Formats: sequence, C-alpha cells, structure tokens
Amino acid sequence: MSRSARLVVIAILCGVGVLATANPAPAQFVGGFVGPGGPFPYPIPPTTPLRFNYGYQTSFSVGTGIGPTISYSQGAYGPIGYAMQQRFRSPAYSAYDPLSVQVYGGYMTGGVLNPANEAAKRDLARAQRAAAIQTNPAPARMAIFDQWAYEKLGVTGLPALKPGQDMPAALARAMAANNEPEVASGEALNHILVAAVAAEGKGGKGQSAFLPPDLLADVRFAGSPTADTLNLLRRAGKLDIPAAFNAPALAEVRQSLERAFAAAVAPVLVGKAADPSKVANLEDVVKKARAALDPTIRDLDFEDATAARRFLNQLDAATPVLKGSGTASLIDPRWGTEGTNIADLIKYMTKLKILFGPAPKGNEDVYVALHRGLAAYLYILNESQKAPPKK
Amino acid sequence: MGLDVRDADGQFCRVVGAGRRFLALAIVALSALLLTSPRHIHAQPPAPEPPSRVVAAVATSLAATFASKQPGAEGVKVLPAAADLYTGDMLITLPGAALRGKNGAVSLKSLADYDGRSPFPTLETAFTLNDAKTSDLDVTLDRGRIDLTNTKAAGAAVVRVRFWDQVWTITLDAPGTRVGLELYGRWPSGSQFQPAQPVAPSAPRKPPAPVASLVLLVVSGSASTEVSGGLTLGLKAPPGPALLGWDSIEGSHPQPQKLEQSPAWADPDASLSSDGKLAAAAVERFRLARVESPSTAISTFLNSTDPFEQRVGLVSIGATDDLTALIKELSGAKTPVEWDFGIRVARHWLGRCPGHDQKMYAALISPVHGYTPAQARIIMKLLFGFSADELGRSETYEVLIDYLTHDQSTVRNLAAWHLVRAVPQGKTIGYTPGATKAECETAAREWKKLVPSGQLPPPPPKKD
Repeated sequence: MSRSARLVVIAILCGVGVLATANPAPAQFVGGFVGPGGPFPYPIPPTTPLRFNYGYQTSFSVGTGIGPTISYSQGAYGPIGYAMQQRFRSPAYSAYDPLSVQVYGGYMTGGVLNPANEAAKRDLARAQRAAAIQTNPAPARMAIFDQWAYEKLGVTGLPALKPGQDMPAALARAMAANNEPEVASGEALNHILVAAVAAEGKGGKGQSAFLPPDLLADVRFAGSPTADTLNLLRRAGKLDIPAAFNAPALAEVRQSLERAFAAAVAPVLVGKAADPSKVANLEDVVKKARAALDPTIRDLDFEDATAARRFLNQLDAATPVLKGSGTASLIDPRWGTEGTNIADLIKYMTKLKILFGPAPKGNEDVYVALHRGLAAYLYILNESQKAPPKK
Repeated sequence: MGLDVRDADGQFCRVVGAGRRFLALAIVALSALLLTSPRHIHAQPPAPEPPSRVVAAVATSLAATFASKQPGAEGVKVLPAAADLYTGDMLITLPGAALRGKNGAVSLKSLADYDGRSPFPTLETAFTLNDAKTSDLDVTLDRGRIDLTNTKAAGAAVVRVRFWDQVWTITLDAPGTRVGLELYGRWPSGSQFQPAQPVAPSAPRKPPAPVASLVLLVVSGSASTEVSGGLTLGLKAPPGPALLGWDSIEGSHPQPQKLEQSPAWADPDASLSSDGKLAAAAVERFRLARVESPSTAISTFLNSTDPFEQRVGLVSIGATDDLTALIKELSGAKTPVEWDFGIRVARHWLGRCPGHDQKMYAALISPVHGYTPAQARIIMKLLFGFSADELGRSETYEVLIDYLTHDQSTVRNLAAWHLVRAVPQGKTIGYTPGATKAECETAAREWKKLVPSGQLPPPPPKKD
C-alpha cells in the first residue's frame, strides 16, 4: 500500500474514532470558552491573509430561578479580539466602570476608537453584571415576608421617588451607593443632584465629567410631564409602540399614532418650537387610540395591557408639554453628537425642573457611571467652597 | 515481502506485505475503538426498583390527625388513631398530629401557627417518611412546621431531614432535646409566569422555581446539625446559638443565630389569642367531622357560615391538592372570607414547590375550567402578584380597574383582592364576590374616581 493510501486509512480511522466517542461540550468549540480566570482566546481558521487570527468570544447562560434564563454571547476577532481578551485579563479592568475602559486608539495599537467595539464591551460588562445580580438577590426570607405582609396588610405606602429632601443622612447614603441596585432607581442620583444645585448656589465651582452621547441616550427623567415627554422625544422621534397595538384591529391606529407623533416632534428634535396644529392632531389621534384600545384591554396579558396604558398616558402627558412655550429648548440636538458634561446636565434639569427616573432595564451600568460623575462633581463643588480665596 | 495476485484483467499486481500488516493492525485498532467506546462500556443500567413500602412510624395522636396520600394516588385517606405510617406516603397533618419512629427514639409533632407569630405564614404541614437505615427517623419535609424530640431513655438520637435539595442530619444530643423546623415556599412578588415550553434535552435550562426558606430552632436541649456539604453546626436552646436558616437561593447560613430567649413562635400553642382559640376549635371540629365522615368533611366546612370553619375547609383543599376545588373557589367564592382566604390559599399552593405554577395553568386551560390561554395568563399574573416597581406605576391600577369588569369572575375577584390591598382606602367602595355586571361597573367607576387614569393612588390617611 502506498504511503498516501496509508495516510488516508489513518485519517478515516481517526474520523471514525471521533464519531464513536461522546461529543465534547459545545461551549468548548464555539470559539473559545469562559472558565476560571476569564475568557480565553483561541486561534481560528484564517479568514484573512493572516495565518492566525486571535478571537475572543464569550457566551453566558444564566438561570435566574425566577423567570426566563438570560443568554448572551458575543465575539470579536482580529486585533480587536486580541485587545479585548488582553483587556479582560488585565487586573486594572473594572466591570463596574465602563467610562474607565481603556481606549485602544493610540498610535501603539494603530487603530482608532471603534464605537461598535466599545458598545460590545459595554454589552458584555452589562451581561456580567446581570449574572452577578441574579446570583445575589435580596434575601429569600424577605421575598416571602413581602408577599405575606401584602396579603395581610396591603401596602402601607407606595414606593416613591423622594427628591428634594436634602437630608444629610439620605445624601450620605446616596453618595455611598456603589452598585446597580442602589442607583438604578435614580433616587441616589436625585439626592446628589439636589445637593449639587445647592452647592452651585453657594458659589461652588469646578470641572465636571464628560457624558458621551451613548450614555446620555440611556438616561431617563422623571418628576413631571415634561420628563415623560423628554423620554419619548429622546428616542429620536421613533415611538416604541407596545405589542398590544400589533393586533390587526389596531393596525390603523398604530400607523396614525406613528405619523402624528413624528409630525409633532420633528421640529422639537432640531431645536425648534412645535407646530400647534400638529400637536393638536396628535392629541386627537391619542384620544381615538384610547377609545380603540378600551374594548380589547381586558383580553391582553397584564404586561401588554399595562404597557399599552402607559404608552397612551405618556402621549397624553406629552401633548400639553408640546403645546406649551419653550419647546424649542426641550431637546439639545448636540447631545446626540457631542455629548455634554455633568454641570450642563444639572443646569438643563434644573431649568426644566426634572429629576432622574429609574434606569432602563439592562442599562443600569449607565447610572453607576453617572453616579460616579455626579458624586465627583459634588465633591469638587464642596471642596471649592472650602478652599480659602487666594490673595 | 509481497503477495502476488492477479487482478480482474489477469494482470499480476503486488500487494505489499507491509500494507497488509498495516491494514490488519488498522482493523484491530478500529475494533478496539468501537468496543471500548462509551456506549459499549456503559450499558444502560436497569431501571431502579421502587423502594418497598414499610412501616416507618406509628401515629400517637388522635384519629384523623393524619391523612395519607400514596405516590401516584389521587385522593387522600384519613387515618385512624395508632395507624401505621408507611414510607413514601405523603402525610398531610392537622395541627397536633404526632408520631413515634419505629424504634421509639424520636417523636415528631406537627404544629400550627394560629396567631401568625412564626417566621413564615404556614397553613399546613406535610411530610414523607423514609426508611431510616442509618438514623432513628428519616423524614422528607414538604412544608410546614414539625418538632422533633429525642424520646430515648439515654443517649443521642439522629434524625435525617430532607427538603428540596438538602439532606440534613440532626443529632438530638440528649433525651428531651426538641428541635423545630419550619419550611415554606413562595413566588416572590412580581414573578413572571411563563407557560412551559418544550426544551431540547441538551439545553441546560432550569425552570423557574419559587423561593423556599427553612428555619431550624432548638427549643430545648442541644443539637448538632450536619448540613448538605458536610458542615456540622452546634446548636443550643436559648440563650445560645439556637437558630439556623436556609433558603433556596443562598443555601444554608453558615452561622447559627444566637438567641437570648425563645421566640414566641417556639411554642405556638401557648397563649393563643381569642381568634387563635377559635381557629384551634374549628380545627378540632374538623378533625371530628373527618372521623365521622371523611369524604364530606371538607365540603361541609367549605359551606359553613363560620368563617374559621370556612378557612379550615379552604386550607384543606389546598393541602390535599384539590386543584379543581381550589380553582372553583377563585371564581365561585360566595362570602368575603371565602373570596379573600381562598385567594391566599391558592397563592400559597402555587409557591409550595416547583412546578405548581405549570399545573395550575394547565388546569385553568383544561376543558374542566375552560379558560383561554390569555385569561389563564392573566389569572396566573394576578396570583403571583406585583413587584414594588409595578405597584409604583399608575398603569397597574388602571389595568386592575379594567379587570374589575372582566368577563371572568376569577379575574374580577383577583383584581379586587389586589386593589383593596394596594389602595386600602378603596375598602369603602366595597366588593362583593359574585356581583352583577352593573355592580361591577359601578365599582369600577368609583375606583376610577379614587385612582384617576395616569395617577398613582393617594397615600393612605395617617392614623391618629
């Protein structure tokens, strides 16, 4: 038998051997694996002229125990993949501080900031934090007690945002908050916001952190109809219409809402005053949508029903705001391209008399970063008041 | 070194000897590989035989304090006094049910919590006895409160207690040592119900489960407890490290809690309030009714005008897993007590163990009850309850008010149940289970005045 025939036989036997044995766990061959010590790179078959191409891929599947399992996976290849796997091996990396993520845009790495890469890194950090939260929830006995107290007593008071209370103890707690559950409601941010406004009023001055556009996009406001309107407008004029309006009977209502909203907010988004006639049309369309929704609401799942009600309430709250004066300054178009800083954000919120609302689900890390920026700014303001004037 | 052979055309061709040897080796290797592959080494093991049913203990309490349900059986059997208690049977107990292990070393007593003093809102107690091969008693606690006492003349007694995924070995150090265990499960508020989806066998997904908690309290004497994982903890009645906790999320708490004195719930039968005494009396009447007519006792008490007897009846249908009756109570409650307590029993039943949510949902959409999947999902959501976040949104109240005029009385009853709890001022509006459509619409209008669209409810008035 020739050598080549022999090699063919060996290859066939090896293949049969692989088929005859148990399959390896899929995770090991997805392109890397997550193990103790972090994600590990692997060389993947070259799809580029390079002989090998470093890849970095992770996948998480976390059983929450309550509700559906959360799964997340992502990958990055090439120099970026190499940089990411080096990054996550680095002891300097902090999963809780996306704003401190090192920028791989210097001349040594030869590249420029890749927004997709940055977003991927933040998504990964977010998934990691979600996994951490699910393994360390509130004590189980409190979960049982809460239900028992509700059965026996009802709620003695509703959880509410408590803004404007400049209580030292509350402020101290707010400043000390250092994880997502503590800041995600926005309450800690609001305490610091109020204190910062007071400190500015007493003459405090100082530099404040930069807030990039993608962070600003995840900030939610609360405390007034203006805040609700802003939350709607800042989705770049695209309504996030709830699933309840996907029903065929409501298709026309859905289209009318989209058109009317887009027409009403278009000038506001570019920093101009709203058109009163377009706003009046939006108001009329919302009334018709509510009338169309009422007969179907009882047949909807609770989540869909509340989402539909909330959506219409937000639109109802938005129309008086759009009718009022000052719509030209509701939105700063530069936020979407240049960002802003903490001091200007505070100024904006003070002018509109709005507060921070709860963080959108899945984006709580933004509030952690915002909390750090606010706390640092408040500290600077207070320190600037202590410093003696230079002679 | 070759073998000359003729091919099909008669031409000589030489098969190289080394190649033949190599081929033979390859065949041998392949055979070895196939023979040693896992599917050949690990032949399918035979299915284990079900454990035999043996007497594990004897009842020492009055007749009808125990009801047993054999594995796979539908109904329960009310047991007489001094009945033999078999391994594998689910023993559903009335307060005061007591047994003695077959070697006489340990006694077990089931306790109630009439006055609601214990850490958990247990409604009933149930457990299964196992064949105690390496202990004096082996019990799988399903829910509720049991007290274990060393009844030996001298020496320690060992009890193996199993619950959820735990196996604890409790050594009652001396005669008279008494240890109480209380186990309770619940879906946290705001849990989201998801109908079970077919899952691929390879998917490592765990279905959602309620949260369970257990407390172990040394009531008298001293004991050591070996928890799952091998850690052994020494415990002593107060004053001392008397309390040990476990929950299904964080596991056992490694440090026993020191108590200066026994908590009030250590002996729940002591110093009962007047309501507690009425409840205890109702339970005793129920026991006697079960002795006289086991098959009709529950329905008699369900239809009683005495609110305590009604509660006993409702707890019993939950305790005996009578899902049909439980679901009927959600829609057909006739009195405020039946309406209010029936919903509480249903919520308790849901949280007892994993899988009850799916069973409830399946029962709701079955031809027996005939709810649509959408209606069943609404009912499940209302049974699970709302998170603090959901209660902080105006839309929750709007939709609950919408549900007050739902076609299904179950949905109306559940929505009203939540509204009076979330908005206590709304109790003045009043709700009658079984109200007419016009009455429901009137109630909905009153609620809308109290909680207008887009607004949260007003805070409750402060008590002077």
